[in-house]
Amino acid sequence: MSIPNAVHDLHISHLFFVSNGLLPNNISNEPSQLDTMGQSHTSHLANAHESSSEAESPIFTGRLPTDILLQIIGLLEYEQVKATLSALARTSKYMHQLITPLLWKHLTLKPSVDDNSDNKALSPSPSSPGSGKASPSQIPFIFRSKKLLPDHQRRFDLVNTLEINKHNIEWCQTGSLRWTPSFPNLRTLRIESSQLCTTATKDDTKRSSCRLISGITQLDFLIVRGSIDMDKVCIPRTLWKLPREILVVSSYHQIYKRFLPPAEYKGDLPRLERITYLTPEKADHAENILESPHFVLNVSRILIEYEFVKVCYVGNFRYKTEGGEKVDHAQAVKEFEDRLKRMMVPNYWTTYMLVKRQQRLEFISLDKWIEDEQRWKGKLTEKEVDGWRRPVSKRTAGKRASIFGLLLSGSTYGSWCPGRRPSILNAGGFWACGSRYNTCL
Amino acid sequence: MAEKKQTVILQTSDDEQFTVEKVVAERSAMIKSMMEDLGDQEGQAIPLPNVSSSVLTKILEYCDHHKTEPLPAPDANDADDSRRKTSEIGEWDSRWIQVDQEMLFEIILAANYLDIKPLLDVGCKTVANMIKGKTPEEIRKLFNITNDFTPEEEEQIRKENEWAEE
Repeated sequence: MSIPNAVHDLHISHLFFVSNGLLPNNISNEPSQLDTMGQSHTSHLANAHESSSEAESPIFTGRLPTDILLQIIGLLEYEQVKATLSALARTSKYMHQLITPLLWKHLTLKPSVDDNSDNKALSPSPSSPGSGKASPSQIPFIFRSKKLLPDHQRRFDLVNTLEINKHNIEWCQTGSLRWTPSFPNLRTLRIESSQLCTTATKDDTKRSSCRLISGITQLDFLIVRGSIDMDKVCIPRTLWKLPREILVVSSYHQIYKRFLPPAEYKGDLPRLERITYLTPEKADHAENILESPHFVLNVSRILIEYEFVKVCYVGNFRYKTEGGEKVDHAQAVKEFEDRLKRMMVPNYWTTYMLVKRQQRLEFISLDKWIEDEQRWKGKLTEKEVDGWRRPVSKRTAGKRASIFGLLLSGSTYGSWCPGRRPSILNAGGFWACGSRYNTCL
Repeated sequence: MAEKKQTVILQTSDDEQFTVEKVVAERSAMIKSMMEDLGDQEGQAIPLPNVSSSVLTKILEYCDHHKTEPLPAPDANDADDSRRKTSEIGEWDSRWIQVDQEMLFEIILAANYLDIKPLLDVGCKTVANMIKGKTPEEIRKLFNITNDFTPEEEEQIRKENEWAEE
């Protein structure tokens, strides 16, 4: 791989320009905040439990003892059969107390169909930015059939994991709501999107961000899935700053060619301890990703900017041989490390710096990660993890291709960080043109 | 060692006695520990005051079919969580458990009393599958739950839970 020297230098110097301005200015992990959060969470659960046992017996004259009933409810909870749990919660006051905490523990939100007006609700509603009050027609389509009311707050208190599906610019219209829900016991936020927000007009970017998200003030785990655009319209900076750990699950293109978290944060994510990038694609979908100059750049940059953060890449890594590309984790990683050394050491890093930084860098093969990783157990569903592991059949391959096709169609190199890093953008575009890294676009 | 199979006598609530192979009876952790306590007292019947003969007959069928499988470790409570938690039931088990509702509850109660974990799992999974998609009223009937909500309260909870139902 030969990179034109001029471009190479441009990148590296820029890289250092970036890194100089941002050295670890605030590495306070705010343990006190975390502690109180944990306490309030457990005491809350304890309260819920007490009150449920108080209400026992005379009201509930069931045929099965409570511990068996709980086991059955546990099965329904595990499978997230929410409609059935909800029906169960409506059978009696005792059941309601028993089930409500389980029902709200993992809250999934996605755009819903408006029952009253056929499928009209699926199309974005006209919005008039600037007018403070929301008339019914201006309430965002995602909330039109299910009104978001301040009454919900006491239930949002129960939410431990919030999963937002199909998040896009439309959600930001929740900014016109007159109250901001909060999630005081939230530990994990999962946010998924297959739509880019970069098509937003200037007015859109001025609009306040998603009201649901802006009510989140503490978080331990952030899971970003799909092709979500890292523009702050979708995930505001305040959110990036909250978690101790971030897991990004996306395609090779999103992860290896863009810089996440957004470059403009310049390492200023004080609570962050670990960031994991996971690419679920099977090897036959991917190019030899570790060879991409973007990737070398991104890795070196994140190692510099986030001085105390462990960086972990999970995927099926491959390397090039004369007979074609081969999946071989150890060899691919070795080749990458050699490349990092060749690019960085002669001009910028001392060998000591390289060794220190590489200690925070880890590459794990997808299967091994799925077997070993306890950290994300319960935060990812077994179903989705199994989907990553299973060999891709022709049918699902087509489906997958269309999902990633959608995201790739919008993700030109120039759009990943509008206006902020012109030199890198241009150089990136230059690299991409006519190189084999461009083939997927 | 062509010894005759070791057996144990079980006595049900309706005073029927069942002579059962030890390996079959051992499926019940409760009977197993009782056998250990009793030692080798030949002919001593183990009383099961909470189990009727019709239910025991049914349960022994299950135990006999599964007698060659390894016993779950006594303290393996949630060790194999993922396997226990899916609602999939083995082919033989799902045919075996096709009984009327009264019998199903009796089996679950007996499995709980006799401490036969895999059987309790099968029972709970069956009930969980039964109530999937049911209305509150249908579930009340099934579990014999008394409705202590006013219609307004029930409607309010329904509206509130809409958010959590996805």
